[in-house]
Amino acid sequence: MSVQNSGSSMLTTAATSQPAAPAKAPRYRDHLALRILRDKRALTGVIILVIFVVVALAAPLLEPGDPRASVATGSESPSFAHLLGTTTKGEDVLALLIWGARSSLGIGFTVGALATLVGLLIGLTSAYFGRVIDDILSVVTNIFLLIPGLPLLIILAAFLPPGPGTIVIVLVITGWAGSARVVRAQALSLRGKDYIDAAVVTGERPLTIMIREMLPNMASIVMSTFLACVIFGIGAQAGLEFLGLGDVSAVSWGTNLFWASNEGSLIRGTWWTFVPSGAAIALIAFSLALINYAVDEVTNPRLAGRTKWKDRRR
Amino acid sequence: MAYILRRLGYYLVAFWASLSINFMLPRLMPGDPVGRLLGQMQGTLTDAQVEQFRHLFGLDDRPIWLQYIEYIHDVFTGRLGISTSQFPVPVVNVIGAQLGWTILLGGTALIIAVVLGNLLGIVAAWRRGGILDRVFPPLLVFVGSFPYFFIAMIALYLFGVNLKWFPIGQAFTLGAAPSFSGQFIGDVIWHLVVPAGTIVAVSLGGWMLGMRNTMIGTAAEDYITMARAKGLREGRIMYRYAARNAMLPSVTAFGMSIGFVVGGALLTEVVFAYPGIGYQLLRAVQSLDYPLMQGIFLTLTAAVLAANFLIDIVYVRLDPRVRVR
Amino acid sequence: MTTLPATDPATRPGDADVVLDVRNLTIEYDVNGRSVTAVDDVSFTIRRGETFGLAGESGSGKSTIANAILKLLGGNGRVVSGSIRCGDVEIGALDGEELRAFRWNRVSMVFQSAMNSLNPVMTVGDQIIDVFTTHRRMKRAEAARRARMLLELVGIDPKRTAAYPHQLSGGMRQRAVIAIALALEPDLLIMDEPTTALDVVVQQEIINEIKELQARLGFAILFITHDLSLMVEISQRLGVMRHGALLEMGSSAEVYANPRHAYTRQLIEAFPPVRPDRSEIAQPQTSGEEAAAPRADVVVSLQDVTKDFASGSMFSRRTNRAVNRATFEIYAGEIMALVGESGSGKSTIARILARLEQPTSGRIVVGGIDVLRDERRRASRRYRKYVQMVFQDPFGSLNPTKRVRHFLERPLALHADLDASQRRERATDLMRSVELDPALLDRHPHELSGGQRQRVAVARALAADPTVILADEPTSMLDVSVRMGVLQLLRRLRDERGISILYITHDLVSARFVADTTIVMHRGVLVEGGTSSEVMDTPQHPYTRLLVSAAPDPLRRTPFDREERARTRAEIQAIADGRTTAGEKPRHVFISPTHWIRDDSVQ
Repeated sequence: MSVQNSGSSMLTTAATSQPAAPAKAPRYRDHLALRILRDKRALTGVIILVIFVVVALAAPLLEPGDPRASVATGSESPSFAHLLGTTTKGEDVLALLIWGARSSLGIGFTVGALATLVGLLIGLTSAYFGRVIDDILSVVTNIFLLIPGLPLLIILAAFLPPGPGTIVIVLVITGWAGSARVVRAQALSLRGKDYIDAAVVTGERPLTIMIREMLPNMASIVMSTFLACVIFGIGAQAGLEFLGLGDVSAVSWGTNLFWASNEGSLIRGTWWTFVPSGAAIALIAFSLALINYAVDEVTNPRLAGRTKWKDRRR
Repeated sequence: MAYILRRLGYYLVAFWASLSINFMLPRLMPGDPVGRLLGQMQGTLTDAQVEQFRHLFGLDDRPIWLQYIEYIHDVFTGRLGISTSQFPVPVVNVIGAQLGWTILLGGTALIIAVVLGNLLGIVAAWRRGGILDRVFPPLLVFVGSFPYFFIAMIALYLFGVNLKWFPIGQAFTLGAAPSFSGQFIGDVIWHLVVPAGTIVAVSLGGWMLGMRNTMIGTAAEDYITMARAKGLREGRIMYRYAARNAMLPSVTAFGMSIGFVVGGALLTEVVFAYPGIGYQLLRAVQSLDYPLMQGIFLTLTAAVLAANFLIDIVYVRLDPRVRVR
Repeated sequence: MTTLPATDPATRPGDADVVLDVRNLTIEYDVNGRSVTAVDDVSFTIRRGETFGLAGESGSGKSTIANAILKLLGGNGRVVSGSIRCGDVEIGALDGEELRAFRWNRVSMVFQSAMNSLNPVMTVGDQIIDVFTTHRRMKRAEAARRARMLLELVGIDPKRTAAYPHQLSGGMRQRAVIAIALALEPDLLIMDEPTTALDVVVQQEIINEIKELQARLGFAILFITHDLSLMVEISQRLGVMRHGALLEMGSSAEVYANPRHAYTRQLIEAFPPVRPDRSEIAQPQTSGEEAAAPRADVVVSLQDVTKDFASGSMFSRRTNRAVNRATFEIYAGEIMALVGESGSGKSTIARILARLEQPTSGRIVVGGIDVLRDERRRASRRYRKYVQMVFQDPFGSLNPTKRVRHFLERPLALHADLDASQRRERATDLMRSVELDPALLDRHPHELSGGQRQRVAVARALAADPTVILADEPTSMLDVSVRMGVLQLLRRLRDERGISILYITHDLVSARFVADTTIVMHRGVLVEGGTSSEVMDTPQHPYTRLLVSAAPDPLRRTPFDREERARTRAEIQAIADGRTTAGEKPRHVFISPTHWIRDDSVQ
C-alpha cells in the first residue's frame, strides 16, 4: 500500500515543485511533511491532534466560566446537562477536560520544543567538534539517561516551588538527554559524510555547516525526536500531577486524575471522572505516535517497502 | 575488559552525579522547608537526630566542601537520615522493607515484556505483512500511549472493582503471615497479576516494534542472503543469524529502559497500593518527608545503575566484537 | 526448446558436461509498482570445470542472474520467461525442501563483500560446520574436523576456526567465504565480484588460489566482475552485459583481441594493462622529455610530515603511524599520482593537505606560507581558495538536500567578489567547463548519474579558482565506462588552467594514464617516485615491483609462483619492520634525475 502511495505521490510533487525535473525523481526529495501526510495513519494522527488543539484554544467559548465551580450535586453520572457527569465536588467533568487540554498541551509542546532544542544543540555540537568536547558532552548525556527519570523528576519537583514553570524546567532537565543521544548519533554519521568535509574544504564556518549542511539532513530525526519529547512531556506531567507534585489547584488532565484518585472514584465506581482525562492523554500520545511511526516508515526505506537490496552497488 | 571498566567508570560518575544532585537540592532550595519541618518536630527529636538532619540538609555553618565530604561519607555508611513521616524509623530501614516488592513487581513485568515483546517482534518481522505484523504494532502502540497509572486505574476498576476477578490492591491478603508456603506464594502471585499485567501491556509495544524494526534491517544484510544460499533451515536463519544479531541493539535498549520501567512500576504501585518503594515515595511526597524521598532516589539510581552494569556484562558475552579484539 | 526432458540427458552426449544451462532468461523487478526488466533474454551455458565470466557495469543485470540461479531474487523480482537448468534440475520448479537441498550442494556462491556475508556473531568454523550439519547430517566433531581441513585448503591456519569474522583481515575473510562455498564440493561456484573490495596483490593471490582449487576439485565457476582485464586473465569464455542484455559472448582471448561490440571495446580500453609495451592500447602521453623540461614553481611542499592515529581505549593506548615522514613537492601544472593499497596512508596525506586532519609533526609549505606555523588551528580562507579537493564518493560528497547550484555558488560567495547575478553566470560557465548542461544547476544530486555528480564535484573545486586540486580516488566509485571521461577532464583542466593535481589512487593503470609523476606509498612510507613511466616500466623497490606484477593482465605469460610471492612478501615485510625501529630521516636514492627509491630497500 505504501509503495503504491508514494509512487503516485512522487509524480505529483515532482511535477508541481520543479517542472523541469523528470517525473521519476526518487521519493526522498519530496517534502517530508507532504509525504508523511499521505500516510493514512499519520493523517489520522494529525486530525486528532488538530481537534484537540482547536478545542483547547476554544475552551473559553465552549465552557465559559470557572471549570472548578461546583455546578451540580456531586458524582452525577453522564447526562444531557453534564455530558461527562460531575465529580464528587460537583464540577463538570467536560469543562475540566476541555480546560485541562490547555495546560497539558501547552506544557507538553513547550517541553517537547525545549527538550528537542537542548538535545539538538548538545548533540550537534558534540558530533561536529568530536574529541574532548564530544567526550564530555557524551558523559553528561549518558549520565542523564542512566539516572532513572521519574525518581529524579519527583525529587526535583518536590524541592522546587510548584507551578507550570517548575514542571517545564524539571521535565526539560530529565527529557533532553534522550533527544541529545539520538541527534548525536545521527549527526555523527552525517559528520562522517564527505559532503561535510567538502563544505569544510570549501571554507565554510562550523556554525554555517551545522545549520545549513547538517540540519536539513536531520529533518526527520528532529521531527520524531520532537514528537517523542512531546509524548514524554504530556505523560510525565500527568504522572507528576497524579502524584500531587504539580499545582493541584490548576486544571490539567493530570490534576483531574489526581483528584479523581484522591476522591476515591475507583472504589466508588464513578468511572466518568477519570476515564475522559486519561483517554485524552492516551489519544494525544497515540496521535503523536502515529505521526512518528509514519515519519519512521517514510524516511527509513528499509521499513517502507521491500526494495531490492541486490544490484544496489554503485 | 577495557569495555567493562569504561562502563563501570560511567556508572560511578553517574552515581556521583546523582549524589551531588541530592546534596545540592536542599541547599539551593528557596524558602527553607527543612527548617520549618524541624520547627514542627521540635519536641520529638533528640539533639543527635536534629544534628543529623542539620548536616544532611546543610543547615550547619561549616564550609560547603566539608559538608559535601561528610555527606558522601554518610551515604556510603548507610546513614540516610530518619524518615519524618514514619518517625523514628531510619530511611534505610523503610527502604529495605519495601525494596523487595518493587523488584518483584518491576522485575517480573520487565522480563515478561522483554521476552514476549522480542519474540513477537522477531515473528512479525520474519512474516512481514502477516496477521501478527499488521494487527499487533498499531494495537500495541495504542495501548502503549496510555500512561502507566491510567492503565493501572482502568485495570483496577475493571478487574478489581467491577468484575471482582482480582484483588483491588496490596501485595498479599491483609493479615496473611508472610512465609514461603505454597499458599502465601500463590496469594502473592494472585495479587501480582493485574499490576504486572498493566506494566507489560504498556511496555510491550515498544519492545515488539524495536525488535521488529531491527530484524527488518538485519534481514537485508548480506549474511542473511548467504545463509539462505547455504540452504540452511528457515528456523536456523531466523534465530541464529537474524535474531541473534538483531538482539544486540535490543539488549542495549534493555539497559536504557530499566529507568522507565522503574518509573512505571512506581506509579503502578501507587494505584494498586502495592507496598513497594513507589508507594512509599508517594507517601513521602505527600508528607514532605525529604529524607525518605532522597533515600529512595539514591536507592533506585543505584539499582538501575547496577542492573545496567549486569547488562553490559551480558552484552560483552553476546557480541564478540566487543569481547575479543 | 526451453525445457529438456530430464530423463534422457544421454541422448545428447555433449550435454552431460553442462553444469549450467541458462535459456532465454528474462527477469523483471517491481519498482514502485512498475516492472523493470533487469535481465533480457539471456542464454549461456557453463561446462564442467570451466570458468565463464559475465562482465558488465552496475545495473547490467549480472548479479541478478547470479541470484536467480540460487533463487534468491527476493520478493519483488521474478523470472518472467526462460529457464535455468543445473544438470538435470530445472531451478524454476524447485521449492521448499528441494530448493534448500539444492542450494550449496549443487551451486554455491561467493558474495562480493566478505565482511558483510559472514555472520558477525558466529565463529568462522561454526559457519562452515552448520553447512555440514544441515546438508550432510554430520556429527559436530566430524564437521569441525572437515571445517579445519577446508580452512587449510584455502590457506588459512586451521586453528583459526575459532576466530570471529572481525578478527580476520579482508583477504582472510574472503578466503573463509570461499572455504564455506566449497564445503559441499558443488558443481558450480558463482563468484560475484569476489575481489573488488580487495587490494590488487591480495586479489591476485586469491584468484590464483581459486584456480588451483578448481584444477584440483573440478568445479565450474561463474565469475562476475566489471574488470575486464581480470576476467580475460582467468576465464575461458565470457559474456559482456549491458542493460540486462548479453551483447557479446565468446572465448575470452577472442573477445579481448577482436571485440565486436563498441561497448566491449570501451570496457577493454578502460582497463589497459599496466605495461603498455606489450600491447598497443592507450599509449600514455607522458614522456621523458616533458619530465626533463625545466621545472616550474613549487606550489606544495611537504617535509617530514607524520601522522599518528591513537586507537584502543583509555587503558591500552596504541598509536598507529598512518604517515611516516612524507616528503615531496608538487610543481605548478603537475599531475602527481600517489599510489598505494588501502590503509597505506595515501588518503591521509590528501586529508592533511586539505587541512581535514592535523599532522602530528612536519612542515607544510603551500603557496609560500608555512601553514602549520601560520595557520595553526584552522585553515585560512586564503588557504581554502588555494587548495581544493575532489572526494572519492560522488554519492557522499554532495549534500542530498541541496541543488547543484548550491555547490557551485557557495565557494563563489566565499572566495570570489561577485554579486548574485555574476555568481549565477559563473556557475553556468563552470558547468560548461566540466562538460555538463547548465540546466542541471537546479537538480538535486540524486537526479544525476555518478559521472555527472563527480563532474559537479570537480566544478565545485574549480569554483574557488584554486592552484591545487586534491583528487582522492575520484573514479574508484564510478562505472568503468565513465572513469576515462573524468580522468580526461582532470588532464584537460591541468592543460588549460595549469592547475596542479594530486591524484590519489590504488590503481596503477589510471595513474599511468593521467599523471606526470607517480609516488608509491606502502604502510605510511613513500617508497619510490619518479615519472609515471619510469616507476611503472622500471620499478626498483620490491613493493612497486609487486604492485606492478599483481595488476590484472590479460596477456600474462608468466604463471603465478606461490613461493616467489611468499619470498617477495617476506622481503617487503622485512623492509617495513626494519623501518619502524629506525627513527632517522629517510634518504632517497636517485636512479635518474627524476626517479628515486627509498634507501631502506637498497642492500
